[in-house]
Amino acid sequence: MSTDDRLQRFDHHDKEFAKDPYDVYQRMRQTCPVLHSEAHGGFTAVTSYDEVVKVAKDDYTFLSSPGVTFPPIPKRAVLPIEADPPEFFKYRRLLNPWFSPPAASEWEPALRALAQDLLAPHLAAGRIDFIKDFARLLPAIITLRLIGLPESDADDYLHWIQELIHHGHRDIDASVETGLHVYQALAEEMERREEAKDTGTADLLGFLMNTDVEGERLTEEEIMDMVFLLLFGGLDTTAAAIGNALVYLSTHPDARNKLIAEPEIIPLAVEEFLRFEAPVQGLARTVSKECTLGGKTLEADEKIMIFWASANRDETAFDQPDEVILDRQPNRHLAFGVGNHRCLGSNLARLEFRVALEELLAFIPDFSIDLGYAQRWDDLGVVYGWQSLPATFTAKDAVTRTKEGA
Amino acid sequence: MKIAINRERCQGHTQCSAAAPTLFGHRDDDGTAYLLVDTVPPEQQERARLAVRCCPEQALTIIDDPTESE
Repeated sequence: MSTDDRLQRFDHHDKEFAKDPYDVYQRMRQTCPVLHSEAHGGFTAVTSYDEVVKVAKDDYTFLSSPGVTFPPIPKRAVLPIEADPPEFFKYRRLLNPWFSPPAASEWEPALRALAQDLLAPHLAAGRIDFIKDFARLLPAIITLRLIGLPESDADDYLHWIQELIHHGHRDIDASVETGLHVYQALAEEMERREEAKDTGTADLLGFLMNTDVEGERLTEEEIMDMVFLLLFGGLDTTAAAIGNALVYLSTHPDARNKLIAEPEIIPLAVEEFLRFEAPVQGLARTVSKECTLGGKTLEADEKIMIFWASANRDETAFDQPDEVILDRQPNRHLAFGVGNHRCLGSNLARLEFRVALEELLAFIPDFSIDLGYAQRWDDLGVVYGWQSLPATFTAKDAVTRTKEGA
Repeated sequence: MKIAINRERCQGHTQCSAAAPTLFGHRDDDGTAYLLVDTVPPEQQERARLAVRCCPEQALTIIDDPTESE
């Protein structure tokens, strides 16, 4: 089978693709950046920077409301990521203030304390699983706190959300069941608050339950569909981003030493890691009317996938796109998307990512990940990351940072 | 030198303030950018140009003052 034949069956959920997607993206950009694939009943894959931006900024031609994962994960529309203007703005405006730069920065002390609490029990042993013990819990616990869901349910929510993200399109019945667990847990918490006459608005769930929009209360479904987005966007994605960066730093000691010596460049490094291995590789749109893109004609109702991860390696948009340049600037990467639907939680995600790197490098600067035992998620069709990253480091008795500051 | 922000385009990526923290702030409600200065002081013009190049939405424009010497 020739390369072109294989590209015509390109499937972003393929297990082989998940092992090394970037060579495939490069071939697609070079040969056919707007490519029709026969996989999953047919869709168009968009891989070049300019075309990805063009699609993402045109909400009228390229709809999000029919669903942004392809094939769809079986559940109700998640809001507002799966809404289009003007409805989109109704929900986005409600949520924006909870994730603005100042609102996100208020979480920094709690995040730093939590990062230290998660690392502490492993310091004496000199071994840790960076994903299971750290990267998946840090964003999950903070996200549950922000929403107002019990932190003790973190493992349940992580299990449900990760099943949906990584295997959601495979077994439809199982996924419907998994989704129901989430809706049920949310409904129970809302019911508990109603029975307790708890009208507090200190957390996001309370705010959504007790706020009028255009003179009316939000419905229970609207609230659940927005909270679902925060779980979907807040749990697995940031864990993946942190894990990907740690693998890079474990295999590139010079880069790690540079970040230890110059912690002030960690914010730029965070952006570069997001560019280099975008946790959300791509999202779907549905064509609303016949149009042309990159010289190809797209028909109404056609499904398209726009690949942020590929755009982030486009040689027409970035110098040395396949190299990590820790202090790259400008860095107009698309890991958070672009346009109206740009990631709602980016400011919080960046902060979580930065604090995770700062605390890890301060407490255990000499870690080494055992890639022989590390496990990747076998499907990157939605999120690209590791499921398990066992690591060792020099054991220490006391909880002391090797470097103060940060 | 002045900078114009296209508010229709700005989506609050915060890359401008990361590049030029003394020139840009962000609104509490939606994170979109606003200017902290009316005119960019000469010593910060290079940073202003970097901020313009950093914006993924291309929402920033430099307006050069022809009477200004650099």
